[in-house]
Amino acid sequence: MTIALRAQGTSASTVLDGSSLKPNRKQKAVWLCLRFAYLPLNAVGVRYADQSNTIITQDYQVWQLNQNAEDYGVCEGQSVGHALMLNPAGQLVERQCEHEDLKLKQLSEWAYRFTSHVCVYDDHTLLLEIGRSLSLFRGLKHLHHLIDVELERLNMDVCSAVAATPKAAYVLSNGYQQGWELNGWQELLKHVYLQDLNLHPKTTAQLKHCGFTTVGDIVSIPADEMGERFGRDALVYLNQLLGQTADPQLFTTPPEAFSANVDFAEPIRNRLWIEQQVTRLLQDLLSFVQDRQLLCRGFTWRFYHENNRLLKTIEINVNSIKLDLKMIQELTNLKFASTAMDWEFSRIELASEELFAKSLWHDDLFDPRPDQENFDRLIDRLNSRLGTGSVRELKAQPEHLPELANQSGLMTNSLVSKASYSKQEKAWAEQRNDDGGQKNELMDEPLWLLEHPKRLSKQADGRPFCEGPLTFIHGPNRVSSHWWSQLCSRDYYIARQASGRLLWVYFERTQQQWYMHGAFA
Amino acid sequence: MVYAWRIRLELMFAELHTKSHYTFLTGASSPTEIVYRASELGHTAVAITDECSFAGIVKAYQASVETGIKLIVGSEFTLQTNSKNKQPLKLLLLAPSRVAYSEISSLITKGRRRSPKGEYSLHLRDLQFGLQNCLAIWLPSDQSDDAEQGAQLAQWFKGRVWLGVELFWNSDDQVRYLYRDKLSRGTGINMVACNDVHMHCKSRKPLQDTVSAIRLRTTVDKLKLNRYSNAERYLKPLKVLERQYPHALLEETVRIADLCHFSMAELRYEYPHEVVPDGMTATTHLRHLTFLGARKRWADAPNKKVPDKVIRSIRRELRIIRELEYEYYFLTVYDIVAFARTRGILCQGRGSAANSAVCYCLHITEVDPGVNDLLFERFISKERNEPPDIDVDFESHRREEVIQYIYQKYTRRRTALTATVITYRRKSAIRDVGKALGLPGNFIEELNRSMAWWDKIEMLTEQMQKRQLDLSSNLNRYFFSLVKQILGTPRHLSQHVGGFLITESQTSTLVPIENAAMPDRTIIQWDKYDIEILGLLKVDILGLGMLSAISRALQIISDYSGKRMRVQDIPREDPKVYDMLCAGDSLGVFQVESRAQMSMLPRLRPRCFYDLVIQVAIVRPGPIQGDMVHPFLKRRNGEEAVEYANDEIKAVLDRTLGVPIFQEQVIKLTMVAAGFSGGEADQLRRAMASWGKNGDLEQFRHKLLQGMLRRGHPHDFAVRLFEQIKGFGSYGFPESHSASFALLVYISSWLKYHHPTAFYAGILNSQPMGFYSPSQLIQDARRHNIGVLPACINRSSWEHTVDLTLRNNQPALRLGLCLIKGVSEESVKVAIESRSLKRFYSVNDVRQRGLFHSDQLRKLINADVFHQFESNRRRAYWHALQCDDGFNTQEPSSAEFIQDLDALETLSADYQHARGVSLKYHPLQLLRDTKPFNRCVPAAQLLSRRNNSMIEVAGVVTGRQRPGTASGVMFMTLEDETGNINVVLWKAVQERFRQAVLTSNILHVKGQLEHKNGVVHVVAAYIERQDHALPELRSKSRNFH
Repeated sequence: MTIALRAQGTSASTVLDGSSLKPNRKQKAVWLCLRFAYLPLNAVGVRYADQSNTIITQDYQVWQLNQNAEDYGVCEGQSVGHALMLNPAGQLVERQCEHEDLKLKQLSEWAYRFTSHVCVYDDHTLLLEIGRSLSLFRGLKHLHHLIDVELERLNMDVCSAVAATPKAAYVLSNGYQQGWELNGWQELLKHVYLQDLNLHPKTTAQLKHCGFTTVGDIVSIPADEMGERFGRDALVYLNQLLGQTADPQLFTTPPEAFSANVDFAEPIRNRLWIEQQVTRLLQDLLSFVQDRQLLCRGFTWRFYHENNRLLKTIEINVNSIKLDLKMIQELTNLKFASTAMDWEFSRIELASEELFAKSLWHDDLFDPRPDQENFDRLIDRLNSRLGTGSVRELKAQPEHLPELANQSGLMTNSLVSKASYSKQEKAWAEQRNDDGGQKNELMDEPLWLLEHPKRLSKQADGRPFCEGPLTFIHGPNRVSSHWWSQLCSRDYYIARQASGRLLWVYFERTQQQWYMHGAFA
Repeated sequence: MVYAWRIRLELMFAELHTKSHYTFLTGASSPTEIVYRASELGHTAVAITDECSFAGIVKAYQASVETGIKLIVGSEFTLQTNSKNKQPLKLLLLAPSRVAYSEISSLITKGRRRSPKGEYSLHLRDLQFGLQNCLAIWLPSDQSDDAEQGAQLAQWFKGRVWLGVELFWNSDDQVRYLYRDKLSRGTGINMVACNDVHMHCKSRKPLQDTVSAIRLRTTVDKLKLNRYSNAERYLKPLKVLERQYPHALLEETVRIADLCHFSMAELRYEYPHEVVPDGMTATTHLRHLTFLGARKRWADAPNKKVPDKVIRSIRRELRIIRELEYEYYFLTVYDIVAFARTRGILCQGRGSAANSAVCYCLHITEVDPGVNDLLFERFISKERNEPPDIDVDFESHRREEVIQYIYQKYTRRRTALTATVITYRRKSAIRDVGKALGLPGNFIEELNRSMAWWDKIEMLTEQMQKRQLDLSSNLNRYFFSLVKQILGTPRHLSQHVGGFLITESQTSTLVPIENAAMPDRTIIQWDKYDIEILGLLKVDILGLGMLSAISRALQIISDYSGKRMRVQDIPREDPKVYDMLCAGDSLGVFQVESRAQMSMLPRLRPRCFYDLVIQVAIVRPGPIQGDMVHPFLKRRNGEEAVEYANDEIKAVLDRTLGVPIFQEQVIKLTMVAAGFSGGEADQLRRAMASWGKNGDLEQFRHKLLQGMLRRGHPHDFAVRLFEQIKGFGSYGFPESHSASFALLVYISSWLKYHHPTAFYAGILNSQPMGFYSPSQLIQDARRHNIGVLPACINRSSWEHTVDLTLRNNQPALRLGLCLIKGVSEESVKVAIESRSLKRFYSVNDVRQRGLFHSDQLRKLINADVFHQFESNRRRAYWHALQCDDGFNTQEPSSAEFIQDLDALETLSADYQHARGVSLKYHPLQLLRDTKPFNRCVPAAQLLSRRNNSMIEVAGVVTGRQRPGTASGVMFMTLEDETGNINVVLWKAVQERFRQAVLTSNILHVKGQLEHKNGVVHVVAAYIERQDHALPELRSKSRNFH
């Protein structure tokens, strides 16, 4: 029996520069730039050279478009109206920035397989230091082929370039380098237009006014004359571009995750036999979380057959902020107890990917609700015993229609529910608190409503009938809303049955029909 | 039936709390709809109580006059209090009398003037003083300090305050009622029923939700509790009210209504007294000034005699003015015009006022009644019973002086600008409703673009179907219906271009005043239609760029000739001026510089002033649509006989060869051919202006046809005449207006012919105005052999000037520094002062004197204003960069590595920094030797080519015009180094070369040459975009619809 612990990632970002990337003197830093210039298009599943006629828009302006759409004369920056005038058949798609960020994040994780030095340079570019990976991937040419094939598979349009400095690789990736050729990058750099550098726009404009258009034009200018006019920042930038000054980069780290497993020499049938191993794995998880000051929102148990076939996955959510061994043991035991484990397994794995930096959650020093933690633990225990999604809470919504106003939702931890409040909802919540209860919508209606209103029969005089005639004791409360979807126009009444039971009924004015919507306790 | 009769007998009710759509983006019905509905429902009276506003009250008044229902004037206020709960206090104020009306109006003004445009701010304490006559209805906020506030109100409005009870079928109605009953007993304030009406009928609830969503910048489904829970805020029938409120509360509304005796008809305009000197009446003073002016006007006539015809006109007009009591109005306008004249500000009245001999004698208008046949009824008529409207144009650059004079003389308390109600148009309606319903932004934009400006709103469903939208879905059906409903409803108040209301007493007692968006500008809450309805008088102070241009040109001529040159010194009927116009050389000339006018000039060939009057009026949508242009030209050229049905008609149409061209002719025709009175004829003209919007026209049609048939005219002729006059309605010019404009046409033409340098300087200094850009005007000046000198730091002023020093005393146009983008007038003025002490001798010298901010200095360098000292502007720029961070006395290094601009770069720099003006090169000049430009015929050679031959032309696109009257034809102007080329593009060509047509800066066109009467067109068959030839060129075309 062996226990293997595999924890990915580091807890801090790494800062490296070109000079420090020299494990031995012969090996030079090689920077690869992957510029996903069409990320907005790619993020919505469109390639630049597709047959589609796609225009990505943002704030009523054209943000990006594919080749087909360009052929109509549409260009970036045009108003949507203008674009449609030129290209009436153009398919407009709103830019999805979040999607792009996610895509780039996924790409940075993907790039991790080629080097551990991956850096997100701007919102659509990755920089990879590949000097130390070249021998592993059998040289630059082979790596180029590998990355191209992979990106093609991922449906991404990319412009790439290699150079000895990160900034040079970045600017050359703007279509200046054909193929990955490390020799002669300095020569290529001389042909780069100033507007393609990351100089301050004002500096670029001033240089252009003086008649300089390419890097080659400005490298010959005496440094003191340049510095006098454009300041230190421009000089530093140019030196970094040419490799005369170190250019540190901030590398990304892959997401934190925990995974540990235990292999058994023989298949196990009784879960009681593995209690000790389960405890050890949980201890490992706890140490991992505590050492890294992480917050664990859930973990997963996986059971494997001897041929590595996955038999069963058991997920356990954690609402409680504070994690201790006793608690996660209890949750595991409760969950195991509610699961019929009548199979043989040879390996168990404990994994958690729902780990977040604890700094996201600040405990209130003067928390007026010390019982919250106990309450969260209760929810965790109930969820483990009854199954995820079994515990629900009543959530009042600012709506006039009762079924929309009184909604139930999954019981969640306060951290999540608070964070998910929109501004408007917070304002509404404050307003409700300020109202001092005078606008309490629940005043004249039962706490729990029927999931589907029950249709009532009518008496001869048009009054509703429910196990006998009803007597109105309050109403009507007229609600007329949601004309844009399905108009609901109702008169609500509190009605009494002969037995004394109070019902909440309404008359649907559009259908001329009575319904019962709830009963008072 | 019996039941209804019983209700009407027993129950009476007046709705005292209604918000119309003039409580912007809150109310969902117009004041007219509310008043009409209240009348239908048999309400005793109705109050319009828009929130802190009287903006809709005049419309409501008009509706109340039409329906006969009593209108109560009031307003709703939300007042800040010192309450701990910070809940504002809601109050309605109603006007039982004229004094109370003034009190409310003043309170609205107070609240509005304290706040930015569109908002108001009032505190409870503002009620303490100045509201001794108003009635108040208090709407408690269900807070703990209600009793305290009630007691306060009971004290301030002793016996004049009620407690409003508003019930909307909510679950807490009973609790609310009991709470108010308790408050009423506690404070001794009687209760009264109100309904907080937001719409005249329940069906407007979707619109009410939609406008709320627009106001709160959200969607209807996200409005949540900001949406009313039901549709009960509507004008309710009496039987519904009877079920909802106790009788006593309903009867109380009628008691309050009975206390309100005020009617908007009581508002009497009081004229400013200053315009009449002590000891004189307005009538005698106006008479005195008119005859004094007449003597001056005819000072040069034989025996200084005013023509009898004019005397008769003056007497008749003065009589009508006296009967209608308009003397003060004329005197007020006279006062303003007289001020402008003393200051040397050119001004001229236009529009229908030019039909008045009195206006001519008062020097308000310039159309000579001795020469022209004026129709006073077009200006003032008893039948119309509407106040006269005198529009006066002033030099646009000096209009502010006139406005300041008005503020100074009549004080800000007694003057304010008229408002313009900004209403929903199709585009804004689709956009706002779409957003409110949560439709995707792209879809809304797409929908808007898919509809041409001439499409009717009904096309919307078609467009929605094209986009495969399910029209049976609730949301989509509502979208269409809501867009239709919101069209024409007001969105906010804005400032009228120049309509001033001047009153004797404080204006705010007549109409509330609020802040405009522009600093130090205030507007009243009524627009010009409201003012017309109430019979108030406004004075329009408008700005006209051409008057500025003329004034500046005259000043320049006076400066360089040493002799004062005035408008009256310009000789009349100069044949050389008409020769120039006949040749179509009218670029820059007032009114006749458009493509259509320029091509009409050689066909119409004006030879006298009256020809110009016709020229101005004939190239208008009205006459073009009424098919009057071709008959007139044929008759003028003798190709068609001129026939008249009788002498009376001949007298009317003789001057325009039997074709009605002016509005006056239409009016006179209906009078002589169908027996209309002057006022009736003018009502017909007004009905025609709003043709399609109401059914008024049909009654006139019938009357006209009957009248003409009775007088023996053939039916065909009558129908044709009706169709013809319908064609132009409001699109045609009155003859008097056309004559006013023709005068400016002649003056500007004379200046262009005799003093072209001064003329171009005047026009360039008065930009923006007219059809052409500064670059086009300068190109035209150069084609007229005028020397154009570049902007220079040692010679140029801020404005363009005439320079006599460099060309043997021949005037040359020296470009001003105003042409350089990003340089302020203040800095230039300081620099001019500095150079008057010692001329600049280097860029470093200018920099060391610290006259310009470094950014400005670099802009000046880029625009080459230092060419005297440094021919290489890039090097000058490099040196200027050296001293950005501080004062540096060092002489700059040689900077040998800086290369000078080549021709293309020079052109590009000029385009970029000198507003597209380059004196060194024209883009086509640089391209002429390359393909395909070497095959193209220059503009100057087009006339020499064979008519109907196929040719190629190329040029910079300077204008695109696609008039609605030209059945989809586009007129494009290309400019090359020799002149302008007119290109005609038929619809099919536009579609085929859509991209090139819409987006090109430089175009290559193959097509057929057509020339007639000296007018040259190229009818395009093939178009090619040539922007790649000069990628740096970013010219801006002027596009007109």
